[in-house]
Amino acid sequence: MKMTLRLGIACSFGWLLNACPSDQAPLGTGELGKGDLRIVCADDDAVCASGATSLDAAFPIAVGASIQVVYDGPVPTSPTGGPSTMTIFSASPAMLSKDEASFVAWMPGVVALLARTQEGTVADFVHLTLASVQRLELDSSPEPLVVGGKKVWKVAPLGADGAVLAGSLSYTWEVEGTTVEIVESAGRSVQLSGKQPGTAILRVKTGGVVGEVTLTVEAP
Amino acid sequence: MSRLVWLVPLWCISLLGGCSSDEGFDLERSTDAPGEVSVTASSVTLPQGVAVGVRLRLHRSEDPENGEFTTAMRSTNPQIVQVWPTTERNTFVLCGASEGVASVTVLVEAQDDRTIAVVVDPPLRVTP
Repeated sequence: MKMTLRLGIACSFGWLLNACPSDQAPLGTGELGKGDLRIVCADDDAVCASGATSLDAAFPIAVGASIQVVYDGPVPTSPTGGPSTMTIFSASPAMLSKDEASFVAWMPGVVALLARTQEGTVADFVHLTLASVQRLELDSSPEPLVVGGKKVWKVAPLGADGAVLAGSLSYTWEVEGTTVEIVESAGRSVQLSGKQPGTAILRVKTGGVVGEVTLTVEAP
Repeated sequence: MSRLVWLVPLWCISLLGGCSSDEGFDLERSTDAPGEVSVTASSVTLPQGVAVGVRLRLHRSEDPENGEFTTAMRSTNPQIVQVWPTTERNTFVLCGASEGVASVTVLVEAQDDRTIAVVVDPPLRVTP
């Protein structure tokens, strides 16, 4: 019983160990019903903002975004007797290419990601939906920005259906007006400081899509 | 024992066992797939980027599931269609890598070292 529990725990992290024996119970969410391929949550992934550590394949990925994917499941035995080294690859590099440890989405559509051994046996696969960013939504806390104060804004990429898209995107931030200035920006966040009372426009861009918001700086 | 290679024509596969020699195969889909995916006994159509699991069924008096046969499937043009074996017996994954038409070669090797090669031409169509 204890041994079973230990093995189960170890195999929950099989993607780290790459060492689960192939006779473990199937995890079942891949399309062959053997294992699972999951999107690793990056700090700047808008879908993961709720604190999730990984996403399943059902979440649409933003075109232009990068993602990391891990395989979690049984690993076939290699010809030498040990567990095979698993590789994840895209069915269509034109749609989703591999860039070292990450994948980059290049065009909208549906693309399969497959986990295979060095010897070329597919353990399982999933399909990802890649969607173009249609709109950028800016959000912040309800507290006002006052002169001398600071406030953080975050952007979320939205698809045509209004759903937040997953993946890490590069953003360019700029402000129009002299009432605020950018303190720092990182990923999908920007911190502004209030310089003088009045209004300003905060603008964010990614891949030709622009989002903006008019903000007000209040006197202290 | 000498190795014999039998080439089985497409019409033989299409007839689902109607082949007089009873030496044919058909393909059947083993996974769901998004988009306009079609898997018939002798052809596969799938969109670029999509993968589908297919199972080979051998039309023979001998049972292909009983361990007497091992099967392999190869794409004639991996730039268009990639074919990968899976951990399931007689089951393969086909991936539409880019738009176009390709063929696969199906190889079935029996315990008596006899190989049956089936050239399926042109059953694999990848749509945009």
